[in-house]
Amino acid sequence: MSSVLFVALPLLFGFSTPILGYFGKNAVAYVSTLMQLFLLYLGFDLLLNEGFSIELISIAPPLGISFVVTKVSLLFVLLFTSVMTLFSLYYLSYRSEKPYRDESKFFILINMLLAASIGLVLSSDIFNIYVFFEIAGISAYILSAYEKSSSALEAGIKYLITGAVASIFLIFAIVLIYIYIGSLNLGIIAQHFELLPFQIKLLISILLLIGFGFKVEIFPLNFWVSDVYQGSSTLVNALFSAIVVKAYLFVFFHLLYLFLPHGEFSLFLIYLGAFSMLAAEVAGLRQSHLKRLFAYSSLGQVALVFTAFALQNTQAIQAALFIVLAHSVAKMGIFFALALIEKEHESMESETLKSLNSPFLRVILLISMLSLLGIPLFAGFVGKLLVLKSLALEGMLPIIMMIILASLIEAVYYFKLAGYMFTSDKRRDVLKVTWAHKTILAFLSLLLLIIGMAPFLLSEYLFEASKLMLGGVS
Amino acid sequence: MMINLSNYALGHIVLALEMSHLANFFAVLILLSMGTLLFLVKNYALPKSFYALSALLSTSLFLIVYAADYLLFFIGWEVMSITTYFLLSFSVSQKTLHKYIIFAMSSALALFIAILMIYSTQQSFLYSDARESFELMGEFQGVFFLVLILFAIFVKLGVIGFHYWLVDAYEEAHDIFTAFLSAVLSKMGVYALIILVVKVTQPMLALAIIGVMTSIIATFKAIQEDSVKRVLAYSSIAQLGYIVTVLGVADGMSGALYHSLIHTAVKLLLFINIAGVIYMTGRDKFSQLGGLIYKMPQSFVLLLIGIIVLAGMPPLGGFSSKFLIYSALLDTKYLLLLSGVMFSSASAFLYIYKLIYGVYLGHPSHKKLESAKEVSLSFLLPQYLLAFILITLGTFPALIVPYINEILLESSLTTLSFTHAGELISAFAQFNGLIVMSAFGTIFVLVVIFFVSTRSKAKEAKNRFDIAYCGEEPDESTHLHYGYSMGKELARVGILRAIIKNSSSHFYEYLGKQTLSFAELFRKIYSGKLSVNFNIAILFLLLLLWGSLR
Amino acid sequence: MILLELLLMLLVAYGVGFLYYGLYRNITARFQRRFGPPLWQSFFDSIKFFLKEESTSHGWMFYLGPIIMMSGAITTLFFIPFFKETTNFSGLSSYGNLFVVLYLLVLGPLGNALGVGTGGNPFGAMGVTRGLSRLFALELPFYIAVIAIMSLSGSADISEIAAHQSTMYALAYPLLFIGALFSFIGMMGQSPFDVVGAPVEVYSGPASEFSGKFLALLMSQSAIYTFAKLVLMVNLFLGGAQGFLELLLKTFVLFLFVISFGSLYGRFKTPQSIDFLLKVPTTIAVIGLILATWS
Repeated sequence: MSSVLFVALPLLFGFSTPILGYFGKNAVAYVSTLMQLFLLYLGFDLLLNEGFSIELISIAPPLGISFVVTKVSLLFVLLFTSVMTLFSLYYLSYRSEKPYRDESKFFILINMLLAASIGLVLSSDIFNIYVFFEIAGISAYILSAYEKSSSALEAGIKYLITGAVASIFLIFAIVLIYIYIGSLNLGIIAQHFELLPFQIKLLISILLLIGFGFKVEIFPLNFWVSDVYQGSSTLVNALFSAIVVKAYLFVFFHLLYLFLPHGEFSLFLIYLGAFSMLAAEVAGLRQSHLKRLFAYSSLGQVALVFTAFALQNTQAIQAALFIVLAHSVAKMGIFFALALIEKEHESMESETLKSLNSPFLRVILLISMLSLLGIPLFAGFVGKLLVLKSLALEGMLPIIMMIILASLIEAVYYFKLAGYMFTSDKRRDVLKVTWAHKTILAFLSLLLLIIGMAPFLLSEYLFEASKLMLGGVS
Repeated sequence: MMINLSNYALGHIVLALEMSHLANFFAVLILLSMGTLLFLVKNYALPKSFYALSALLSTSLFLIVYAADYLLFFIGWEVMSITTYFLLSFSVSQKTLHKYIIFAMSSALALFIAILMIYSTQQSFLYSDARESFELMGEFQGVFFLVLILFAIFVKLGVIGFHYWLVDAYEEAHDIFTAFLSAVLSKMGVYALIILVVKVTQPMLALAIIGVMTSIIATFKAIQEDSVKRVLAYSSIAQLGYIVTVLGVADGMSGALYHSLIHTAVKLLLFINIAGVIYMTGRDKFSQLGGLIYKMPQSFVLLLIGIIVLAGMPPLGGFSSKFLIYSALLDTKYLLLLSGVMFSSASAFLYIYKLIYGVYLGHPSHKKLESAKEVSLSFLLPQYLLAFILITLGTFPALIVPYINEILLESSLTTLSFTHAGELISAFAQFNGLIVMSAFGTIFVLVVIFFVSTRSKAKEAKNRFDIAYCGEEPDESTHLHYGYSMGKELARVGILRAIIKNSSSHFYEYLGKQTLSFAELFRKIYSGKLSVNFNIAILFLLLLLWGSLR
Repeated sequence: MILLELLLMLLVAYGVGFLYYGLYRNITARFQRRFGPPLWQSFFDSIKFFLKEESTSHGWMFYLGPIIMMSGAITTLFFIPFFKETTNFSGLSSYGNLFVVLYLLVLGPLGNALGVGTGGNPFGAMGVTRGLSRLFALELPFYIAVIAIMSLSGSADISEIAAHQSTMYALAYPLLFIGALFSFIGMMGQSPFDVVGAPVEVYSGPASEFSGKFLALLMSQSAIYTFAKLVLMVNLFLGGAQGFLELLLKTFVLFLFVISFGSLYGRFKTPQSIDFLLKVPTTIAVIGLILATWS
């Protein structure tokens, strides 16, 4: 029963907001946060008691809801809940100075986003996946257009259009699958998929690739990302890069492993991923707007995860999971810190960092960037090393070189920012960071260091998870 | 010590640490540098983070040295590069810093590719499997592997063509850190060269040629510089060129190790000395210094010892290592290379003389310099210690031969013969440092005694203008600090102008510009115009369909 | 015993050095259609200068310059054996080798350069600068030739190199010898490579601030260095010597050649001499080296 709660509770919260609204402004915020903390507790409870399960709720066959909790989906559930909880905690301290307009709506949206992302990960029914795909999309469109500014509007509209196009492709694929197989259950589809005629298989694969391609931000379907990041509020960007794209990535490769267990398109996807990474980092080189810049960096990291998943072997998947974790934590740190800087300096040009007078924020940004770069001692290194090692074992030297080249370019612009932060004289007053923010940011950076120096704390769990993911338990 | 990470489901990775003699040798170099430079820190108001970063840097250096597998080595290498970045950031301009990090990251990432290549053949990062792994590689892969490794190392060593970052960084870094950069960080390049290249492959003539070219070009570049620290930076490059050269030939290891030790000690001595001068006068250009000899006599004598070593003159330690290098080259019959090394060594006299003349001799270029005083003991003590080491190694050149032999044995190379500490015996010749030293010393003392005993009362010069000057009387306005720009006229010599005037900076600036315009192109793809982007996406889709259906 | 031998070596070098210097002055005078000074005039001059007092001093380093120069000259001399195939008059040469000698040859001049620098006389520094700028170009052909013969003889020991020559290297490998000879002319301070101490242009160069006993030391070391260099050259290229007569003969022939050459040619400017030395003698020596060791 508990796995349904992950989806049901946030949605239920959304419906109860009007009632909560009567209890004052703060009630919504606190109840939302408490609810998320409860979910987090539930998640860890499941993890510790190994409560892996399959839940089936039949509505009207073939329609129904089926949730599968395995080590790997639980991992993503925990990640999303933790990110959202940290986000809420961070926002609780942030809102006293600069709250979002119409806060209760905002809370509905983020909880919808959480519910949908978790739903995407847990579902083992392709129609459910479509439904959550849409819910996540819609809440994300509104979130990106939430601020009253022209760039936010642009972001929202672009997100909406591309999202709509993506879902058309996805629904086409689902329709084709249903026509040819006659079931929406992933397990059943997986059994019959191989027997389909080649052209149909190809068509479905391409439709899925394009549908998800927009969402997993792969070249050339990722043009909207930088605009969305620029237009959305900085804090929300943390959610986009730590939750939304990760959920889509998981689902895409979950489907891929189920439908094409023999890695028919593996090589193509690997090249696609590596090229996406290179393209994103090169485009980022000339970027001076911080939010856009980190959007490109997200594209690069996601493409790296994409490459790793595309390798379709246990070690590479383990590596991908490492990067997913490291990237989520690092991006949270970066966007949380940037939000404070934006509030103070009211500018997101990279030159802003020159006048950033807060050693604490400088160090947080630095640690996060070093981790993203994959510098040893930080979490990012473990993932990158494992990916490259898997590639090396496959003998894919050109891919390794593309990834390394991309990392080099990434290093160039990260260190430009580091240079801004650490060399120029600071004339502004010290930027004060509240203790709550400090605790959360320090926790994130510490997490990066701990994972980086002691990857064996996680590695066995992740290895099990990747075995399950590849084995396609549904 | 070995840690098998596959126990933790992290794939086939075995990490290993090992205390080899070679590693200990380089660890001693690190300790020597840290020990001597620690004397200096109390003269400067350094932020706490400087100490923290230095500690991290040292840790990474020990990791590099004691690692027995490529992965730990790489981790150390990368941490070293990054901490160096932040240590530089205390005083270095943004442009130099950026230059540094681009080179350092390129170096680290090239190394990363290389170690992945070696891993892919045998699924092992261990040094002990490296040679076999290398032989298992295809020919093309093997060459590519070496190119990557050498690139990584050359950047760290600042081999000519890859030194674009180095000279500026040395000049602008904090005085203490410059010494550390030159004395230790460059030695990590040497260590890497031994561990990753020399021990894995056959001797490479190409390496020796690159080394000679480096030392010659760097020497002439050094001659042209006006900034003391830049001269020393180029001198570092040139000295490392000798080491690279000798590592490129068979049986060159002993010379390379000896010279590493000498170079570490002498560069520490010189940089500490210059740090003292800068601390005292606030000036770091030859054109702004001069005439400090009687203000800072102890510093002068110490610098004198330093430059004699740097020049490789007997009877001090510099000659001992040069002798081994020359013998190795002579023994392997690379005679033209040896000529090149000796040529560069002779050319070096010019900037070496400039080092002492421009700072301590001649006329003070400014009145303010006349109020300079001797530096404090914290500057002098480490220099005395280093000078003592260098003099000892000149007098007893074979003192460390037993130790070097241990290292050679461990790598199964031919050892040097050893009779007693005074006599250094190479494959080709031998010399007795004790006799050379005592002969020169005795004669010197005798001449002094002779001279002093017949001494008549010479009158001391009244002031610094009391010189023979063609019957004229010079005054303040006369330009008397002649010679700080010595060597400039070499640019008028056709053959040398090509070396002096050309620079790799044009190439790198061009490369940077091209990369940026390429990046601009990509940025345009992400222009934000939905119509354009959808067109690109549709084009991509069609290509994809076409490609899949073929 | 060895001390006595060293003393004798020193006396011989001192005497012969001054004798050659006197001869040099006489011979160049003949070239210029005039009669030179008496043969031993320079010797007497140096004795006289020893008895004079110095006019000015610039502190202790100023004293040390000529002293180091003198010590360098004597040390160099001791590490060069006079004869081959005997330990008589071999000095300390068995404790050193050719590399030691090559470096000792420049040790003195560099030491003196320090004294000159201390003097603060711009003309002195100018001379030093010229000397050092020229030094590497001057040494290069010599180094190449010396490296070649070390490799040919399979030894860096001077007396072994001398003994190894069944036909003297000057005849067996003429290109090497010619290359080295150019350098040697410069090392002897002869035209066309004598811009360092050019008396007219730079007011007598490095020596400009020195007087009295300093000058005496400089003159004496010059005599010793001259002889040492001649002996070295004889050992390396002219097959060495077995007795004083042969040594004197060979050194004198060499000396005569060098000074005649010097009298015939004008003077190069510094960049000119570097350019010339790097082009002509270096090429000759490199070709010589390749021909000699090609096998």
